[in-house]
Amino acid sequence: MRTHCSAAIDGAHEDDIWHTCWVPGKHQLASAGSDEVVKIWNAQTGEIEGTLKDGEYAITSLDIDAQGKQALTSSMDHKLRVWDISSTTTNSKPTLTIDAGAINGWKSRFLRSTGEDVEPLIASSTDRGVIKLWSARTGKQMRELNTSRPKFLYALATSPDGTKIACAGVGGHVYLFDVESGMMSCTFSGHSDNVRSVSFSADSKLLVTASDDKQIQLHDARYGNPAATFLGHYGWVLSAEMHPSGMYIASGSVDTKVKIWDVAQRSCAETHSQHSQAVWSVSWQRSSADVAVTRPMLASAGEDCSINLYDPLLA
Amino acid sequence: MESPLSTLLLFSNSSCHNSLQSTELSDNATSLMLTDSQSEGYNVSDTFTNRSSQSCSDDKCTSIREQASSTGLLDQYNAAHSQHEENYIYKCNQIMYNSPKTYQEIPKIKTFSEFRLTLKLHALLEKVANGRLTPSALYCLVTGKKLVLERNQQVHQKGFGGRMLLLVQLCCVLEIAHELLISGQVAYQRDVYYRHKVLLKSVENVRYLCGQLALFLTVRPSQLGIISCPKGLMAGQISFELNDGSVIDFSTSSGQTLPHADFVTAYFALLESGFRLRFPWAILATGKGYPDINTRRLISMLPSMLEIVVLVDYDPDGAHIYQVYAEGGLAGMHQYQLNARWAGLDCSMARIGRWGLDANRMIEFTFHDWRLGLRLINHWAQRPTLRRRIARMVYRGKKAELEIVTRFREMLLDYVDSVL
Repeated sequence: MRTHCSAAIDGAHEDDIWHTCWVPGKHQLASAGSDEVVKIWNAQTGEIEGTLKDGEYAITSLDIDAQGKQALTSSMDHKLRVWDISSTTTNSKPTLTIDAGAINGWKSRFLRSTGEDVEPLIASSTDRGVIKLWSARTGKQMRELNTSRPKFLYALATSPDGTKIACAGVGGHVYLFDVESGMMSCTFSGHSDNVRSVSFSADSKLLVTASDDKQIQLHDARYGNPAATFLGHYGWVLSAEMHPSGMYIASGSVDTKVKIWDVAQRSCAETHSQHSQAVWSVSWQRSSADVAVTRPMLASAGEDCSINLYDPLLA
Repeated sequence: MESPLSTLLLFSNSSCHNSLQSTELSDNATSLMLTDSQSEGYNVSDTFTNRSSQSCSDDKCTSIREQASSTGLLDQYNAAHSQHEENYIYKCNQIMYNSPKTYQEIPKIKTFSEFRLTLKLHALLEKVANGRLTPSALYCLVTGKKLVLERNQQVHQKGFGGRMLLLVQLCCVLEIAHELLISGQVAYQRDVYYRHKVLLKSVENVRYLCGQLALFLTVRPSQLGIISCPKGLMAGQISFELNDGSVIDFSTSSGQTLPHADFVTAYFALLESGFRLRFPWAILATGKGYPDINTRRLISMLPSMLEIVVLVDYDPDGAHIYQVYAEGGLAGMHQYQLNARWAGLDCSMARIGRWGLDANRMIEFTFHDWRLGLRLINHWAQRPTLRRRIARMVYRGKKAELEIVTRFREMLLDYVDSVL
């Protein structure tokens, strides 16, 4: 697969962009960062379709649920906000605000409910090695998953099938939890420095972790066995995500490069140098339950306040 | 007036000082309002009254006092605290009349304002000794903090224990200041601490008490007669002339301590690498970390055409130091604000690559750094540029000391050049 940079949105935000997330099934991209607003872009035209703003605090995490109806942000005032994005709006208020307390909501993700009667949950990571589970309807704290090591958790991921939660942070240890039982299923320490990002593959079997020690590692999500290590970045790897087909991994790093790795060959397939400063987030386009995306695009955003979109060409 | 225990002074922190700016401390001090935590009708900010001041209307105060006495809160309070307060008043007397009286002698000119200050202190001390000014009222007066009683509950006795210690420390410092003013002497904070080492737990505590007293009496802390050791350093084409005519020149090679009036390693590194030759138009000063009030005051006395640039390391402590220079600190004692530019080590990745700073040398944040960073974000909630700068630093989760720039002497001057 070869990708080429098809579009760039310069000056997308006034300040660093730290998160990008595609709205599943649609051609829309949401981005957020230190200038306290979430902007929803049309990926074809590059125009803003919606803005979400509440409060004056930088946004530390952004997630969109699997149906593409709700967005979740957590910001530096320790509040988690759930927004309704099913209709395009320019000035909307959050439908639910959860006050999580002091550094109890650094990163937050939607947890897909496994059944119809199971309550949809939101997972949020804290600075003491604990993951709190909140109800996405009422906002009350339901459960707590404890890693029993008081480390700041920089990265959080929930598996697409809703059974696992992975978290990692300072120290390089990655912890995997089984949601139903609430127990830690495994933990492994492949990295020597902080882990900046954790993400599952689309079939929830593999886990991709990116760390400050310039490595990207691939692990088995069930037992934690290491599968691959990707070396090649010159600086901290800030974000890594797997292609929905499971064949490629995209990563962005402090050395301003976006790299696409071939999983089968364990090597770097492509390097893009479109950004002039650190790249904080890369994400592949997602498909929802109704709409499938055959050629997912890649989005990358970083400190130069611009978003770049890459279109994959057919091999 | 009624019995002393019926008067309890309450005001909120900042408005206390504002309202006290214009009023004098007269004989019938203090009184006023008792408020409980569940009522919202009382405006706590205008509660200071005086026979001659117009800042509070008398009928409002009396009606609230009647209300308070009618609910029986006053009686409860009286009953619970009379014993405690008597004990502490006795202790205050002990301290005041039995402490040794020898201090370091530094001659000082007496002015009329000092004489007035002496009178004020004398009045305060007399009132405490006679029991007309209750200890808790003095505590509230000086620190400006509220004592809040819960409705329908016993007054919490354990909350008062710690404050009583503070109160006794305060009386001690008050008495020492009084003695110094009468005899025309000046003492270091360090000496005052060692004089009553067990009671005054630390030098920081002495500094805090002097600061609170000074704010309450609307004078500078140095006028109380208790001064701190000189801490700042300065070098450059500048000289200060003191009150008695002597001149201190700063153009020596290694600079001089500031008269009474981040990094010392960075300071000396800059001097050694030829800062004076390359930037003859600049003056270099350091407060050695967090600048004390003396340094800030002297810098504020420099002519305003000098541009002030603050260079600190890339962590929340550095940002806090910049905040202390520019705004006077987070604790609310906003004194000597400077018009300073934050040129401090900025770790955007381009800068790191350019100056050869290795991103791998950056250090992990500690819990203190997270708390301080978030606190600064809250403080600068209304100033987007500064707030976003701190937010970026906090999100990275790593900090860099100024030493990574000072390590390479050749690059240091180039870096400072780019910053200036």
